Amino acid sequence: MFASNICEFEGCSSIAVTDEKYCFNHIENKKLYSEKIIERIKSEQKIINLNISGITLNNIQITGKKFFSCKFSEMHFENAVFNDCYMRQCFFDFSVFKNCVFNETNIKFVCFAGSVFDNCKFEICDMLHTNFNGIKSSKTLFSESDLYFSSFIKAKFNETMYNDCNLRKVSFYFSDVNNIKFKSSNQEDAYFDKRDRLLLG
Amino acid sequence: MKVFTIYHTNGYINTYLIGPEDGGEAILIDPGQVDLHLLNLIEYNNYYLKSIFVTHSHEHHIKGIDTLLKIYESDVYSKLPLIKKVETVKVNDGDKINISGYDVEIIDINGHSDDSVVYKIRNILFTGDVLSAGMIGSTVNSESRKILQKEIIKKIFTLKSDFLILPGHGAPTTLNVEKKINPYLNLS
Repeated sequence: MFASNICEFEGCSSIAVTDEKYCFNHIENKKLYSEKIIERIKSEQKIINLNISGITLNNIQITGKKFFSCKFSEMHFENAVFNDCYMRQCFFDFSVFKNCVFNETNIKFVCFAGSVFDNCKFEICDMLHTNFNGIKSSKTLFSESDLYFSSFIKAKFNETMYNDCNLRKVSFYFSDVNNIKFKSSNQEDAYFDKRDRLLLG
Repeated sequence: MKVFTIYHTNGYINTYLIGPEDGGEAILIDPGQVDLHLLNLIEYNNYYLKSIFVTHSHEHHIKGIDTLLKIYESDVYSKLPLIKKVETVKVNDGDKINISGYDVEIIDINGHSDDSVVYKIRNILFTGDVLSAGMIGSTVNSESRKILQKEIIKKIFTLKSDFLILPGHGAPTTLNVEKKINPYLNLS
């Protein structure tokens, strides 16, 4: 799991990013750090225990990479493409995804909670046990994807579509689902009302 | 520290395997089932299963203990003195113990079951059934639910927000997310 060293900037309680003493907010040369990280992602096939919370990754294509136990919280992705990637136990909470594509990507035990998805596409993805609680999804498409046991609790949707998706054990309760379109998906196997499902255990 | 999540369809539970980067003594949390995948993970990583942590004694969280104890000489940690007729190392609220080099803190949470505990290891909370992504544990009545909510808010939500939460069921989450989003515990 990624290290959880506290940022050394006086009074800051955030976690320091990988290879630095400071969180991204308090790094002096943010541009240089971002460039180093992009280079690292490009050069390594397996990315393990990386914490780059807070950084921006725009116009990037990430293909065939495996991410394990990484922290990508409060990041900003614009025009990013994840193609044929593999993600386990990664945390993208409270991030922003704008015009991003996840294609044929295998995601399991990953947290996107509190994130914003604007004009994004998830195509032919496995997204099992994935936490989308509290997301704000706008003009976003989930297509030909398996979302088994994922959750969209307290999520806000605007022009969001699930096309040919497996929704078995997917939770949508406390969410406004009026702005979702379901097409060729098994929404009868999902939970929309908290009464549909007992609490845990 | 490596953490592996293993999902079992029996009870839809998550089992967690914790061990060092380069092999050695490992901890298993809530062994609901033993299968080849789990055993391969332990062996492939050169782990020896030294400890089994039980978050609570519901059958689907402990079913694999018997089989594991036939293979490994592990200590079983629980709030109860006996689990499946096995004598445990009893843990109590506030205990701080060092196991296989990991500092482990015990947080006792009432409401879901009489023996529910959360294990705090480094920046991770292994919450069992008491708290998971957008949900809390089931309770037998509304009074127990109030107790559970109160205990979570008092003992878990007072921790720093950067803890990760690896629950007994469902997807991973963070304490920050649950403080802001969990509809059963919404503070705002």
